[in-house]
Amino acid sequence: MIRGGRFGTFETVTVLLWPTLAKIYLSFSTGIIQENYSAAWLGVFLGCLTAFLWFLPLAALLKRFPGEDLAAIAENVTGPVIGKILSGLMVLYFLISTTLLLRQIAETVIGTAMPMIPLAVIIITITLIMLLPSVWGLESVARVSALITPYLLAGGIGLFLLQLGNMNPNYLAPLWGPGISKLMINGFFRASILSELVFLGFLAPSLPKLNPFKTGLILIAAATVLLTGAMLATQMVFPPPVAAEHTYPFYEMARSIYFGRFYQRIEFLFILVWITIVLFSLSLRFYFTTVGLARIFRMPYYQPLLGMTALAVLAVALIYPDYTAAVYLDNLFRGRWAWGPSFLVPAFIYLTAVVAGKRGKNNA
Amino acid sequence: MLKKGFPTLLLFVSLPILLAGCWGAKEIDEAAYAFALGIDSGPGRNLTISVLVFNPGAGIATAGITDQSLSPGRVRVFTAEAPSIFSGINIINTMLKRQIELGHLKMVVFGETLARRGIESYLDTMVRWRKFRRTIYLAVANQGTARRVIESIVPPAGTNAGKYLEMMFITQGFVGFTPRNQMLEFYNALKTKGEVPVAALVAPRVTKYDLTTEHEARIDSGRITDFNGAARDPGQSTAGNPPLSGEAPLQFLGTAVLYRGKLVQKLTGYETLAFSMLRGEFNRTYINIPDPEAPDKIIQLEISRIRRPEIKLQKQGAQIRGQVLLTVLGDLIGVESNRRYETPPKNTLLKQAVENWIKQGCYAVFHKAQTAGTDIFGFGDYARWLVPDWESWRKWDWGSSFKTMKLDLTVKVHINRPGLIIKKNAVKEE
Repeated sequence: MIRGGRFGTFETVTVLLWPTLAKIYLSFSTGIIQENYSAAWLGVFLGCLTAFLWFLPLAALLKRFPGEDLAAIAENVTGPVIGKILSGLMVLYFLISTTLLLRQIAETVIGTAMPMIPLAVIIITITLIMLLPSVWGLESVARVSALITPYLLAGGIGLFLLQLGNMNPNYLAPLWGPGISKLMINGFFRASILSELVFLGFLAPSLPKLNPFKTGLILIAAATVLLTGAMLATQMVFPPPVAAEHTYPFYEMARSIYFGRFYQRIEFLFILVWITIVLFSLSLRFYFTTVGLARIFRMPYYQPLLGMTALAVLAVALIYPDYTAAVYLDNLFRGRWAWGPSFLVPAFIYLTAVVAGKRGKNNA
Repeated sequence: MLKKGFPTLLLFVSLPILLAGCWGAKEIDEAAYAFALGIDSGPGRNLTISVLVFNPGAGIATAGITDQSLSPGRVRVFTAEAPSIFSGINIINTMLKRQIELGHLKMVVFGETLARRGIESYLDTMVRWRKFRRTIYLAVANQGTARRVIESIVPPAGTNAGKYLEMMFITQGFVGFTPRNQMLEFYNALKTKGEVPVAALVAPRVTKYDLTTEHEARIDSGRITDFNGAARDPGQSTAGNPPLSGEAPLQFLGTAVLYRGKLVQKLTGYETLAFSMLRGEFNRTYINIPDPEAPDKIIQLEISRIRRPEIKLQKQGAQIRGQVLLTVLGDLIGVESNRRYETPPKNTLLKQAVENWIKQGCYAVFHKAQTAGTDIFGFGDYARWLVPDWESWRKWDWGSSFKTMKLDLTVKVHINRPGLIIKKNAVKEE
């Protein structure tokens, strides 16, 4: 039997917060700036608002089927075949996002810190690190995430504050960026920015007494504030034509910190914070991929799948021809279309459950 | 127990091996660290690349050797003619046993001829290649070549050229005659149309004005009766030109305005000061103004910024009107006429005089920039708020709007403390 462990609201929020925030440390924000110009921060904010609306059917579904995960709910509601297809779509998204993230992390480590290291060496090392939390189990990951949250927050926010002297609020104008209508459309697609909310549906068995709506709401609020704030900070340091060029916008921010002769070159702090957050995100995506596969195939344990799934993730990550391709695909799948498997599929299951009048076993 | 503890033990044993050591596979004394890079136009399409290199030897603090002094012999200049920066560095590397490492670069200087031709194409390397940082200082060699600037750093600054350069730029921030000139600001300005990029003007001090031989000889012989020729305030000069004596490798004074990456205009020290005030980047400096009650005498003050300028832009038809409020703190340093300026009415008179002095300087530099169509103040960044979306901003010819922009400048000077004299000539014996 798959045991996720037991943990509370704070652990749940933190365990999902870091995968949600990790994307800003890669080239993700560059894509948002390229389409929203000076209003990129508004694009992020609108994306988060849209994600909140999408979250409502997901929360209602989890409340309707308490203690059950999305794979089981999908099969209960739509039958074993369609249910498997629907959960398969979600797990496929987890798998693709894991491979894209793995390749990007490896390339970023080469591009920023260790330019001489061969890709194969770093990507295999990261794959092994990615495996560890799944071996340890979700409960230990949740506890660790709760413990490190204050430090990661302090590190992340501190770096932004150190850039105060270089911030120019005028770079946030013109206010509406590409125009209100385009901004709204981009905001709708950028609901994907909080696509990690769907993991909540696979955490449900670990949270028997948890109110999914409350947990999701706290997560959305925290992520909205932090993601919008991070984008605001970047945009105030770099005007859109500059920010839209960057491979690693937040790394550039960290490299530009300069407070006299002593407080400079502190991007190593950024790298520590960054690497912790992105590896956390990678491990959790991998965990949910493996657990999702195990649940789809009704396996009692997910551990036997770890090795093969890790190998598959590694193989796919190496198929991407280069970093630019990985970024392009990441922006496409995780950036623009992730709302499909993350929000549309659960919403469809919820509507079907309502129409068919189906409820969970514990909610009769 | 052993089974459980073994992985932890292994982790702790392996951590010191993994965390310490040299990830780049290069020891600290196995690289030649470049502190300054000079780029000049060379023959044909070539560039002349000059590099100031710290060439560490046995004296560097490694493996228990504590002598950290960097003798002049360790700081060397290499120059090469090559089609690009890195082909130049490559060819210089053919003479060195240690490869040039750019990670500690402090300054990039462009020769004036090259700056007039345009430097934008060289900046791509500096923002793309990870060895360059956006905290590097940028300068233009005033009336000369970058090579001469780089070469002049060596003998006097030989103890630590990297620290020398960094300290020079930090110090200039409190002199007021040099603009903020790190690559971060320069590249931001270059890529936007709301502001025009600027760099510091620098000159080698080898062609220094010899006060001893020229001035004093003429004064001593009694031949000078009219000092007007020599009475120009040095702040009205650019680097390399003011009457100045003393041993120093470089002088930073004034601003190079590089519209679309091409040098189009230079600002003197005082113009730079006024421009920095309008940009809100001015920290603190000494000024002297004509005494309002005795115009042939001067009053010296230290002025500093209280808060950033408040800037508002309005669009009235096609006309842009800018309102700027500068708030400055003044500290009285000296009154040549020995008059009393500590009383409230006199204090007001003095404040007005300082306000007028600042206004005149700011308006002069504003009109100079307007004439050249170079918005070095970043007013265009404020103008972004006047349009609703990006397309409207793209279509707006801000350069033309800036040329006809009206500026309403208000300066508020607070002189709250009279220094160590509370009442001049309070008691007299004659």
